[in-house]
Amino acid sequence: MLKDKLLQLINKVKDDFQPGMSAEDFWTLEKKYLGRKGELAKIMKNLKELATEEKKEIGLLANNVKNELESFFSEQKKTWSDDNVDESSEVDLTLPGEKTQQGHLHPITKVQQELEDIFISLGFIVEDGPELESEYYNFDALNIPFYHPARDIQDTFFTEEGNLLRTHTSPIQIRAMEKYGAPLKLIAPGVVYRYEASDASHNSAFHQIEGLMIDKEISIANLIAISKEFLSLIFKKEVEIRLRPGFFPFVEPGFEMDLKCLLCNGKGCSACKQSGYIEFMGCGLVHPNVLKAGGIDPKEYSGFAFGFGLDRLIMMRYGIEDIRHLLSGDIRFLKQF
Amino acid sequence: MKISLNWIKEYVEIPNSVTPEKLALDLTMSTVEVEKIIDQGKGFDKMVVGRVVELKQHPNADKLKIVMTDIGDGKIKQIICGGTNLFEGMLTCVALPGAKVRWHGEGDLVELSPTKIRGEESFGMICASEEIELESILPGKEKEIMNISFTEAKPGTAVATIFELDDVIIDIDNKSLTNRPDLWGHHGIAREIAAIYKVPLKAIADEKIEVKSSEKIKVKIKSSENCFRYISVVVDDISVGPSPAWLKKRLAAVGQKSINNIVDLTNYVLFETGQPMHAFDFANIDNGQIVIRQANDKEPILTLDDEEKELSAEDLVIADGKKPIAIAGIIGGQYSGINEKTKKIVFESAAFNFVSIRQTSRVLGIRTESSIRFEKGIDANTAEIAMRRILVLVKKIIPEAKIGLFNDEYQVKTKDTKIKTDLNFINKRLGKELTSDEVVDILTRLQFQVKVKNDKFEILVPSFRATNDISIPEDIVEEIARIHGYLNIEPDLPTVKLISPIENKYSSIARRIKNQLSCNFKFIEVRNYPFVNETAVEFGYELDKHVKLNNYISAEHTMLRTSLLPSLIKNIADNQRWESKFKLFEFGRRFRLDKESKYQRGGKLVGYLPWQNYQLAGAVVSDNKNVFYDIKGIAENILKSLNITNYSFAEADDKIIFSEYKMKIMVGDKKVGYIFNLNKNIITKFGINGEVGIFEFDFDDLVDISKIVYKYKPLAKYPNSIYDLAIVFDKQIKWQEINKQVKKNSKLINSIKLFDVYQGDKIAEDKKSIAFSIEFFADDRTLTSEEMEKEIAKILKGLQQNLGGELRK
Repeated sequence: MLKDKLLQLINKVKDDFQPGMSAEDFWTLEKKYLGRKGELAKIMKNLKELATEEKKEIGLLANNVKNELESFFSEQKKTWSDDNVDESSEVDLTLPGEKTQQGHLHPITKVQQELEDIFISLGFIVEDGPELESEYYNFDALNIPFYHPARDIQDTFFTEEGNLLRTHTSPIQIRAMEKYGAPLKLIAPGVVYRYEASDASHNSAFHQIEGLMIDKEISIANLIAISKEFLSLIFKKEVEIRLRPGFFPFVEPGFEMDLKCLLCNGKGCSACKQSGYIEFMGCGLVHPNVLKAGGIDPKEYSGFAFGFGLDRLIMMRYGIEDIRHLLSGDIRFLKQF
Repeated sequence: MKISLNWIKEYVEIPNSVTPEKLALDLTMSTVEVEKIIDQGKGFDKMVVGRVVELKQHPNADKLKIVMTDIGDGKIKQIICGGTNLFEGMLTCVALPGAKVRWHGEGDLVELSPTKIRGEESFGMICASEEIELESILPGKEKEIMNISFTEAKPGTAVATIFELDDVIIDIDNKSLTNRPDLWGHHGIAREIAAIYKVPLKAIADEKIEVKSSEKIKVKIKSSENCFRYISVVVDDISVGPSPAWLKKRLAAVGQKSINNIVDLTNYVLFETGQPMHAFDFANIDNGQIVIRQANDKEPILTLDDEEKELSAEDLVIADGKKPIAIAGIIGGQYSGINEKTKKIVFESAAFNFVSIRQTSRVLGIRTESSIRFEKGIDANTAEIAMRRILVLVKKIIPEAKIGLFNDEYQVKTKDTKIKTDLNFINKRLGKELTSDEVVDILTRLQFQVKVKNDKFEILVPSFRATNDISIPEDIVEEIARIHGYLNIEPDLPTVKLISPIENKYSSIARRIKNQLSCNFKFIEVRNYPFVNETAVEFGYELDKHVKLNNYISAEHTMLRTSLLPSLIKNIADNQRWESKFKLFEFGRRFRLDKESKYQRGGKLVGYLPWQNYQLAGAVVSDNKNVFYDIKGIAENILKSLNITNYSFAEADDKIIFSEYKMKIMVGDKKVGYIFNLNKNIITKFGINGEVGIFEFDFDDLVDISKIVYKYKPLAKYPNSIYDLAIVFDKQIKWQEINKQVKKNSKLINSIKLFDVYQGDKIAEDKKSIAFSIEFFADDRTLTSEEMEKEIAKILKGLQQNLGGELRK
């Protein structure tokens, strides 16, 4: 039967083929089966004697067999020629690599994790606190009396049941003092809220990192040293800082800490508004009233506290022009980190 | 706040070596933040007075005019200008080619050159005050150019000459002055400069005042808790008119408009001493008496700036016999204001309770140069200095004025503030060793009086520093440190006991899961505002459980979210503009009114803050119908990574109205989250393409039940055997039951893996075929085929008897 002969052909070829056979033998083998007078051609000659119906069926089969044999030989040729012939010119290695899907952490998360690691390495704990906070922890306990301008409604989101959205991460200072007592070294990263219209550099929700260190005899010189230490770790180079007077009710003395502009190295450029310095954070020695509110005796202990904006730091690092991108949920932005 | 250097120089001699830039830096480093220095003369090159000779309409622009302008020396030039207040004969400021201007007051300075505007030649530019930094001297309205006709200057005169721009203005950031009421006048700043450079400070001129009449007005302080001191002096025979040039110039330098000589004098004293003053028209004080009292409820007053205000009992007013004539410390009333007919006035210089002034200013929404000073808390002694000063000045500019008696109602006397501290305390806080002499030197320069004995100090705080500013030893540390100079304190790392930090379980687990989601499962982390509005009910969230804001910025942000999902779903819709398939997650707090958090409200406030646990929510956007199972797999992985093994998925009867399929995630009896996919309604409503699967966990609960397990399972010593089965069940039989049943019937099962679920025309309509492979394993032997067959028979029997499962043929 023609049909059987055709099907056997494939096995016969595979039987005759021997791995490692010489090129000459290989060519002979191919000619034996696929040549003009080869086995397949011989079978095909008998095709015309068949009935129309059968002719169709066998023809189709013969064609399949032919294809299979051709691909078998070309497959073999490939492995055979790879060893012998340089064909690199035919392989385009410059085609793009397969795109692998990537996940992305939010830049706030990334930088926050980096900062947490820095502070943990300096022996600080990472503490958290409520975002929906009470007036007591957000203001009273921080030595911000009811008449202080910072308590104005224009700065704070108040809620109907008489609480507020924390305006800074500083309430965690008090909560942590109550929880752990002294000595204490902590940072507290988190979202804070201000009741103000958003623009490119202000957002009603943004991120801060609070720092607090309480021990016996903590001084301004200590604050300067620790700040230099962690800022150099953040910016991965030695940074220069300067303290100048600044007022925050929960510290005394209070300072603004400026960073020597990393772009112009203090010479003055557009990034630092020609001043050579960039405002980085508010800080100071913890006010004795704040220590007292946290249940710590200010006669025995002193401490320093600082707080800085994470959003601004990230904007500085990556050159982000608009703070609102951070809470936009736009994956075109998020996929860059 | 603007400070004129010329004015400062009246009180203190600044060393020659100190340039304005150096002064600004030193003030910033020791006292207050200087925002900028404005050298008035700088930048007025090629700017002259011009006179509008002729006005013509620009042929090609409706809003522009061709202005033929006399720029001096008989030169008439054509300039194109859009100012709406142009008129022929007007004097204005012309910036000629070569001058540098700021277009419309915005952007960088631009150098002018002759140009054509809409086809017409323009030789320079006619300026608005904001375009040439003269806004503070001559504030302009929008689209108007400077009208300086009042100067009657000759065309061609240099602009700098006209305005006598020979001063340097130091602009100080008001925020850095909030705790320093003493610095809100030039004399206060001069005092700091004197302390910084160790140079003498001149007192505010206090000449003997010639009293020419014995007249005084009756004053009654009814509200002594809010008015501590009230000094009034009647001055007769005055004439109200324009101020002399020197006065106008001083006020202009600090950005204050000139009104008339009397009002200008009160403002001058305010900018000099920091003490706000007021002048009333004596003729308009009914019954000839002044009463300082709380306002009556709903008592009206028409203020000087023509605003009708309604007062309350919280507000302190200055009243005459009948009605309020001023809102104390904030703004005067129209009725008793000074006008050109005024002949006799009463000057007021008072000390008010800063809390009262602040509250009233805030409630009424009025902020004035006066209120921003009073609300900081001004020393009552300054009231006297200011009154003496204004009397000297009034005599100087109106020599015929008749000054009445000094009427000083001083009921609540300021007590001395004394602080005891010692050198050791100061040095420990500084982290530096200063000597007693150094400390005393600095404090004395700042006008503190110090008694020293054995390195112990008894310090008398000057009264102008005692209000709301200095009261405790820590304040003294600040004074020493800032004048000594923070740059002179060397960094010194603290020496403390080494204590290893306590790990924060919540934060470290949050970090681990975030990393897992982004690294392993390719999620993108988003962060959203926690605000929603009442449309949250469309998601099935109950309105009364939301924490509502009293004040909010937008109508879309009126409440706090009870779930992260509404914003996450919006993120999906928004981002499908850029990509069709992606995975998002958010980690953040959500808030609920009907439950309590673990956080106390603290102080005298009872109870706990509303519930605000963290939620972890993720969404997979896919074109695959089976996205629900992707989500299920991710949820299981999260649970496993927290070593939570006793979890199960159960049918959720809870309302998640936007879900199609949903299950709740249980750990023991506790519900810790949900998995589901979004239904067609929500998909259509948000215009989302494809399928969305969602998981959500209560993160705090998850952390609480998470475990730390370090476990290793030895590798198998004997080979396992895998056996595949395909079994036909009724459609409603659940995989969970099958799985359980299989396990029940053999003790040699290592794992069961589902690989196919088939429903279709090859089996009965109410049936489904479940194909799974069972991995058999024993840890002490290789299983024989007989053993295996026995196990399979048991399993098949169990499935057949309990679940009606038949081997598929």
